[in-house]
Amino acid sequence: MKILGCFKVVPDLDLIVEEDWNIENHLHIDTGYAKLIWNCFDEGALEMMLRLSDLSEGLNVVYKLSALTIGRQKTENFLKTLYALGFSEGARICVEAEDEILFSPEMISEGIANYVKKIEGQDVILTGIQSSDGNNKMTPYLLAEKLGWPCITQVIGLEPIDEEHLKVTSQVSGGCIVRKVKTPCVFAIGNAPCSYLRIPTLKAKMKLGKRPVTRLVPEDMGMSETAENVRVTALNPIDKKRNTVVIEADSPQEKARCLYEKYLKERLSEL
Amino acid sequence: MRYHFVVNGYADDVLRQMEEQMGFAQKYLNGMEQGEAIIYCRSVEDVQRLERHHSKEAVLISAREYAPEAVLHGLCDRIADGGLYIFGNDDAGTELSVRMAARLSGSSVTEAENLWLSEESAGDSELINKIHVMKMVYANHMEAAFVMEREPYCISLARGASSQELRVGSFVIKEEISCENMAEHIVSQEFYPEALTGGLDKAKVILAAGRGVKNKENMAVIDKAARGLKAEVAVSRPAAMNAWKPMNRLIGVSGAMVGPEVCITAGVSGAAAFYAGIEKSKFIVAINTDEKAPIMKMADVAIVDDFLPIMEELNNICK
Ligand SMILES: Cc1cc2nc3c(=O)[nH]c(=O)nc-3n(C[C@H](O)[C@H](O)[C@H](O)COP(=O)(O)OP(=O)(O)OC[C@H]3O[C@@H](n4cnc5c(N)ncnc54)[C@H](O)[C@@H]3O)c2cc1C
Repeated sequence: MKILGCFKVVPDLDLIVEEDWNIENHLHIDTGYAKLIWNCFDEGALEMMLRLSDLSEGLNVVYKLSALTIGRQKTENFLKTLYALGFSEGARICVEAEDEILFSPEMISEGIANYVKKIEGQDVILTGIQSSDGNNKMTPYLLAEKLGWPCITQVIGLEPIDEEHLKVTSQVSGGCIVRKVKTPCVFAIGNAPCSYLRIPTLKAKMKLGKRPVTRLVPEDMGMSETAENVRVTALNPIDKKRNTVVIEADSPQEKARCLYEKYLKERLSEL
Repeated sequence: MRYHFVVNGYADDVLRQMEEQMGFAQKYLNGMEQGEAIIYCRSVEDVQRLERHHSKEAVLISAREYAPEAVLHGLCDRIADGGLYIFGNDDAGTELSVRMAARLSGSSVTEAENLWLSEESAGDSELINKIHVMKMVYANHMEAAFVMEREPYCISLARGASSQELRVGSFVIKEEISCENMAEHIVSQEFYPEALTGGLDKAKVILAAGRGVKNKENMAVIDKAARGLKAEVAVSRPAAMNAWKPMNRLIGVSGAMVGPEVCITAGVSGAAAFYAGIEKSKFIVAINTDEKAPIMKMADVAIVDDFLPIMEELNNICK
């Protein structure tokens, strides 16, 4: 079974300084200085693929894992980490300008769909449910539509069955649903527990992590002629500040007592 | 232009979703004509049992099990004209709004906070209405305005919007479209309800633990203090990812949105995606070793210190 994990490398937004959120009259934020990280849901998707592969040991099914990202040159290090973890194919559609892929789910899903149609056919595609910067929450759904595939959202677990089926757990309100799903299918990965990506050994890095990444250009992936149906027109900062009182005292115990006596006791007793 | 509510009749919280759709329409769609509602559901009986409505008439798309592919089939078959379609604020609403717009060459925005119309000239002194929508971006650090280019306009609502009481009485059901057996990719399925552990959304006091709590053993200290304070325990994303608590304890944009009387955070930095989940709390306490953590400006009261001795002392006091 061929499985493609689509991921975005994003700036760690927790590191953006406050002033940089307070800009006006721009259509994107300069996040260039922040450390790059896996988009959290995509990271969960990639780890889920590796775990699926682990679970298949001893079973009569082989998973070929590939990864695709759309973004800057710097993201290739992430693809190399995936090589070191056992992915057999890593590709990047080269887009250097961050803002071009921010609010562009039509273009991104077109790129992924064409990769699957023209470059490497797949049986299953995993994407995170949304990215941390654009927050569009559209790419997996648009992708399913472009490929004419079904889609399952809020997936939190995958287990092997056979070459054509997977056991898929997804979160729904009030519980979870476990399904036997026939491929092909798109899975949008949500809040999967234990979804941090494992770390490759140094040996694996040396041995596997040096393979070149397949580079593709947006024009060949039909991305340049794709128009968005929705256009961003303004970005506004949000102010969430309260008038915070800081409790000062010599010891943590004293601070706790002050917190309780002055601020909690009465409030709690009224409940 | 007409607007239509699209309702998830499978959802346990269908009435709340409808109240929020009503609230949205009342605030932002004043003067716009309302069309029939479209309800995807198990059966006519489920809809009649609601005994509440927010549109006079409704068209049902029914199937025993929910599958987006089946609903989309019914939706796209039925919708002939343009207009504005307002989906609920759950995952189904988001997915369906995006896929419906894609199938009908319309446009979609997910998790809309508000909406307004503008008039633009389309040449020859003709004026056309454009729909604009605001939503959170950059993991809730900013809000962005979008203009939607093509009809039908399909939006899903953001969670935590203001709601409006529903009208008493049932929908007049104009038509039922049966969409049984249209999800061929699903061979079998089973639902596992979550063991209910006291809903976070109704809690009066919440103690929320973050990555700063560091491990499962320390979570036990949090649990103990919570018992003393009669608080429900909640966690941030990293704490949930590390399985210190089950996922249904997660607070934030991808978890529960809560509004307790008192919310105490321990070892939480106050990232915007987390804070959105506790923003509606009446009183927020932050305990963090880092005085520069964002939460220290977004709380009513802050303590700069290690959470552990604070929790132990609170536990002593509450004994
Ligand atoms: C699309 C998207 C959706 C997201 N949805 C959510 C969501 O729903 N909920 C959510 O929580 N996050 C969500 N996140 C993640 C969010 O951006 C933050 O990364 C996360 O909230 C950080 O969690 P934290 O505060 O526990 O950890 P950190 O940011 O690592 O903060 C830990 C804090 O603990 C403090 N600390 C350390 N030791 C101690 C100690 N001994 N005593 C006291 N304090 C200590 C540190 O100073 C630090 O401030 C989302 C992110 C994205 C991109």
